Amino acid sequence: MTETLNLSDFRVIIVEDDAYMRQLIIRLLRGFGITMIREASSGTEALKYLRTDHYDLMLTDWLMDDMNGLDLIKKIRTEKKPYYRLPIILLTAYSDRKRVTQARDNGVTEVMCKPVSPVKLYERIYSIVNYPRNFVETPNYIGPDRRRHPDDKYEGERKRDGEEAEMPHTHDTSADPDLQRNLKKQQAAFSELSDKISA
Amino acid sequence: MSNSSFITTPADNSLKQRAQKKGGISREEALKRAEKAIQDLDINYPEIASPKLAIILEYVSELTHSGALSTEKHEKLYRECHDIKGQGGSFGYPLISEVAASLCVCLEFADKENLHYISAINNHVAAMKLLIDRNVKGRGGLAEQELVKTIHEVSTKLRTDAEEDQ
Repeated sequence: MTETLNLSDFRVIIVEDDAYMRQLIIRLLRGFGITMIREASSGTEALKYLRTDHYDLMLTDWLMDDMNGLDLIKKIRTEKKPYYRLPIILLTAYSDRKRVTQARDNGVTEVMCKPVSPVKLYERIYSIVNYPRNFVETPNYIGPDRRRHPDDKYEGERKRDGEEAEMPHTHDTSADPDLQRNLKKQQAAFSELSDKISA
Repeated sequence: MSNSSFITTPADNSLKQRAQKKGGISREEALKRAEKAIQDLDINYPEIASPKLAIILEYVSELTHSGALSTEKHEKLYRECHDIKGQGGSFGYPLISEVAASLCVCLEFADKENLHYISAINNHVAAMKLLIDRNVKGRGGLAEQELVKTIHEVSTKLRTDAEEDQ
């Protein structure tokens, strides 16, 4: 069975201080059929938009200058405004378990480790749309239920499978002898350093 | 649940219902369109990375000459490396991301008193500069793979050493 998603009337807000990354994410979302996309370059700007318009999904970066992504999520969840249950995907170059857990403890719906790729982003959106979680409110935590609900019927690629393998841009540098020489020189320097650290 | 401070609201299926409307596209089609859309994005990543690399080079030069950086500068250095880690692979330059990731590990976890710390940082930056200057896209060939493998070896060892010392 081929499952389809119609995301054409979804309203998405992207919070990312890097204009290039915003452009990349917008392109991906448009590819998925989402056209109503609001850009915010900071957490403060995002809150301004959230207070006035309805959104179905937010994508936010973690490391930002005026208000980081985690603080933004915490604010959204705890201030109990009409949008406090908004599904949120946190985009981050942090990939260690400790930080992913920290993000979940702050009420994020999905974490997506950068580099950003079509597969990774699609899987997060697919999961939010098709497998929404219960919403939990306790004195210590407000956010989606942190327990996952595996889907046996899902036939597509699994979220964390194949992410590393996805690399459409290949570039053969073997025809550039100068570059090859420099790469080998660098490798030798690291190899020597690695031996010294072991010693 | 009788405890009024613990509230669980059932999952909201409204997005699912809306997404099931006629006119949807398959996963394969969505991914194909998204791939095409980013290929059409006219961004030369080395150009974006160059100003960040310039800041990194400046701070690493200061680190090399003075032996240490202020907390503020160290944070700024980490931030630039972290940005490149996130951006590189997103724009089709995964090797640059991987070198930046390894550099982030050194900056965050290595013991700054380690005899080889500064040398490791300098080597990372030299490798990053080489990949950016020479516009090395994609996963490259054997030489690139070997380089990245050894780079990871260095940052992993520095991190392990620091953790063992704690």
